[in-house]
Amino acid sequence: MYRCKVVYFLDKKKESATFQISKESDAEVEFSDGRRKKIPLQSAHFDLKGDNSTTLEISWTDEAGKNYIYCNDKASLSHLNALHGSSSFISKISLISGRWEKSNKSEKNRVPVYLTIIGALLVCSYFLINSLAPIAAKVIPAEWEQKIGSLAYEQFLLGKTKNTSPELLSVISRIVERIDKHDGVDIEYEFCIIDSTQVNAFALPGGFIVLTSELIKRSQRAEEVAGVLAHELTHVLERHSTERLLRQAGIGITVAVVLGDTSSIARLVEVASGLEGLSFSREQEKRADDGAVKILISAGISPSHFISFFEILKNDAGLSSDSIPEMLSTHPLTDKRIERLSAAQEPDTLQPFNIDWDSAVRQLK
Amino acid sequence: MKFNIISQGAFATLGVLLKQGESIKAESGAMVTMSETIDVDSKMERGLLGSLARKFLTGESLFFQTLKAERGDGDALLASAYPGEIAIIELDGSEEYILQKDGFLAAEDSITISTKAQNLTKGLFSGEGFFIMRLGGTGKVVISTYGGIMKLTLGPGEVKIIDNSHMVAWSANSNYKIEKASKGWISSFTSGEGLVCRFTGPGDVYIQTRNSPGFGSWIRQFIPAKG
Repeated sequence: MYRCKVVYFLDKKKESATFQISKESDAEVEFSDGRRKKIPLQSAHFDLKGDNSTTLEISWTDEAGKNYIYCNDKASLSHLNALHGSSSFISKISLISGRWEKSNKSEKNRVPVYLTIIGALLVCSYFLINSLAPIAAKVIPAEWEQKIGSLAYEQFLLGKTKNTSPELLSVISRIVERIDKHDGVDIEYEFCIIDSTQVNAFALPGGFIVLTSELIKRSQRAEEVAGVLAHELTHVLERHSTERLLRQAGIGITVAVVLGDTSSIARLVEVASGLEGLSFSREQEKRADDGAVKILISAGISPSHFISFFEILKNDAGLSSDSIPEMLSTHPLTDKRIERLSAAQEPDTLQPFNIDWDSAVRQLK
Repeated sequence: MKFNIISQGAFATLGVLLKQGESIKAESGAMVTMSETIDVDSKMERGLLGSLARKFLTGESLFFQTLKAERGDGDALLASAYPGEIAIIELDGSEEYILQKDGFLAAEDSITISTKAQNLTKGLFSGEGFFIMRLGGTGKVVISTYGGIMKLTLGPGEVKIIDNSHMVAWSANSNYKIEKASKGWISSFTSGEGLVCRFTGPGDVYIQTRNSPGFGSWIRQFIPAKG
C-alpha cells in the first residue's frame, strides 16, 4: 500500500490528509479523524500545479462540493499507474508523468545555464568595457573631469596627514609650475604631499596630484621628481585616468556616460577616490613615458633623471615589495622601458632647477 | 522544542526552548543570547557543493548555525539582521514551502533545505532573485521579513496580485506569473507598480508589508552626496 501526506481542500476549506493507493481499495483520502473518502479515479481530473509544476492535483466533484488533493511525491504517479485502470486513464497518468519529468529537468538545468550566462556576460562586458572606456573618456567634458577629480581628491585626503612645510611645498610647486609651462595644455594643477611609507605618486582627473613623503625622501634631486610628475600628468592629459576610472566603474556607468547620463557622474566620484590602487595598461604606461620625455625635453630637463629614479628604486634593497610604486611593480618590462627611455634625446639646453634638494628633503624629518 | 515570538513588531525576536539533545538550525549570526547548556556549531547543509551553491546563489551564508542543547535544557534568543516581524510556519510533511533568499531565520533540525533556481522571467522581475530556498520535511520553520508580516490564504485556483519584492514564503503548491500591473505598458510603469506577481492558489503566501528595495530608494534621497 502506498501512503503519502497531502493537502486536501473541500472547496476552500483546507485540511491535512493522507493519500492512499492500494489494489484492494483503489485510491482514497484518509483524514486525521479516521474518516475516509474514495477518489473516483476514472472521472477525476488530473493536473500539475505549484511552483515549478511538481505538485499533482487530483480534483473531483461529489455531493459535498469540489474536492482537491495536492501531492508532492512523484512516486504517487507510478502507484496510480499500477492500478488496473482503463487505457485512457493510463495514458492520462503517463502524460502527467512526462510533464512532471520535464519541469523537474528544466529546473535542474537552470543552475548550470545561469552560471554559463553569468560567465559569458562577464567575458563580454570585459571586452565591451575595453572598447567603450576610451570613447566614454573622450565624451566626458573637461569640467566634469575637473569636478570628479576634485571630489575624489578631497575624499582621498580624508584622514591622511598632509605635509605643510612651506619650504618643501614651494620646492614642489616650482617643479609643478615648470611642467605646467611645458605640457602644452591649459590645466591648473593642484598638489599635496602626504605622509606615507610607500613610494608613490599619482594624478587624478582634472590635474590633482598626490606625492608621498617617501617618494621625496628617496629622490636624489628635483629633476627626478619632475620626471615622475611628468609621467603621471601625461596619464591625466591623455585621459588615461578617466578611462581607468570608467573601466573600474563598470559597464553600466560607462554606457550611461556614452549616452550622456549626467547622474552617473556621482557614482564615478565614489570609484575615483580609490583610484590610487588601480593600474594602467602597458600601452598607457608606454604613452605616459613618451609624454613625460616630451615634457622634460621641452622643459630643459634631461630624461636621464627620470630613468635614474627608476634605477634607484630598482636597486634599493631596503624597499619592501609593497612600497614599490605601481609604476614599477606592475610592469615586468621595467628593464625594457628603461632601455626605451635611455634612447631619448637630451634637451638642447639644460635648465636645471636651482633648488637645494637636500635641505628640502630634510623638512620631512 | 518550543518557538515563541518575543516583542513582535519592528524588532521581533525569536525565543527558543530546547530540551536536552534537541537542536535547531538558524541563519548564521542570528543568535542573540543562549543558555550555557547550548552549544553553537556550524553546519554545511547538503555538503560543500550545496552550501557553496547556497552561498553564491542565494546570498545566504555558507554555514547554517546549529544550536544544540548538549548538556541539559536551555533557551536561546534569535534575531534577523533587519527590522521586521517574524512568523512561524508549521510543516506537516504534506506541503513544501518556497522561501525568498533573506527570509530564513531558523528551523527545526528535521526540516530539509535546498536551493532552487527560478525561471528567467521570475528571476529578473519577481524581486526575489534567481535563486530561492525550498523547504520540506516535518517541523517548524521561522521566517523573518522586512516590515510587517501577513499571511494570505488562497483556495484552489484563487488568484491574488502581489507586488514584486513583497513575497517572503509561499506554498510550493501555489504558483505565480509575472505580468504588468495594468493593461498597457505605459500605465503599468506610470502607476508606479510596474510588474506584479499573479499568484494562483492553493496555498498560503506570506508577504511583507514593506519591501527593502522600496525603502532603499526612499531613504537615498536623504543621504547627502559625499564630498
